[in-house]
Amino acid sequence: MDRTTFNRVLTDQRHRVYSHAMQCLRDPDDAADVTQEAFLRLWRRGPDVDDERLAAWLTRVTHNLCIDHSRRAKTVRNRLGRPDPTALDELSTRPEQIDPAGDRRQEMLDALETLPAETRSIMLMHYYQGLKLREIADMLGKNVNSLKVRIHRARKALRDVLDETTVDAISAARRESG
Amino acid sequence: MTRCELATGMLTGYVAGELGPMEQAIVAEHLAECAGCQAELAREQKLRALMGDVPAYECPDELTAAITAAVDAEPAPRHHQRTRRFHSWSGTLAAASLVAAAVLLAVVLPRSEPLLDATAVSDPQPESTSWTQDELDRAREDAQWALAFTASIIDKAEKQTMADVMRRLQEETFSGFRGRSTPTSPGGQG
Repeated sequence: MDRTTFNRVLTDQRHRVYSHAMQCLRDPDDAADVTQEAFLRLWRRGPDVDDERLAAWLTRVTHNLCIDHSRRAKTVRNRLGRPDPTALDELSTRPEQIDPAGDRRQEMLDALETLPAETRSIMLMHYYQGLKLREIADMLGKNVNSLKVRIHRARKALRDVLDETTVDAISAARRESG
Repeated sequence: MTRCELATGMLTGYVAGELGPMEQAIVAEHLAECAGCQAELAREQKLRALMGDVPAYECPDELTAAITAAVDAEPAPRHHQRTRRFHSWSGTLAAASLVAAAVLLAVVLPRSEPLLDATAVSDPQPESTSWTQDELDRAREDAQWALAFTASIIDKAEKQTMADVMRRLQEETFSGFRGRSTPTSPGGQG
């Protein structure tokens, strides 16, 4: 990969990579670390392939880095206790993203955080980024059926966290803000 | 597995439109007659809508600048250094040749005597110094791997011409290998 290609991919993919890391890790510093490391790896040993496959490559690298960071963060949390949740207020979001449904969206992120890091990342890839199950399976070298089982279990776990009342409230907030 | 379990297991794919026509029809047919699975479908659709609504985050400009600076500070990866093509090429070749030579020496040298000594074949050889077909095959595979590895490294380095040379070398080496009779067979030297 030459520098021109790298710069183009950085421009095109940086928000997607950073956003995925933020949604997974919910910590701006960790998300920045993951994003920087992902792009450095792209520069050092990114494959010479088309942009679509480069995006898939970056997604896989970001996914793996998020899992690693999450494990490390879990170890630190176990030693020091959980971080201050108000740190989320300092997140850099687009102004237009701050809306009346913001708290409800944070609830969704809270619910996602109860899932194991790998499952959380897969859920975000499928439900948020809109990647097909087969695409995710190919990208991560996993079996589609095992992915379906994992998502099915995650849906059940999320339902336990986001009880029906909360789900309906979030849906209503979405309708109001939309 | 009950029909409900079957249908709920396919709901994610059903809502995402990822099922094949037959699976899609099976789930649709079951949903039409099962209130429990209809409720499950509604939950799946809600979850999908909510997940799509998770906040997006914009990569800060400072981070983009930091990434650019970090890449600037990195030495260019070897395959980017067009001006040093010959030097990087010869380095790759030397490393690959060492791998190939090491494998060949490790496998062939300890067994070289019966291969080279034609008269020794007429006498029964101790088991430890004669080549069995398995050993010969293994040696051939190891050496083939080493040469294929060499060719793949050169391929990666975009040295097409050298890769061709290595492939030819590989083919010629093993056509020679195949032509050589097995030393352990009694009539092997003929």
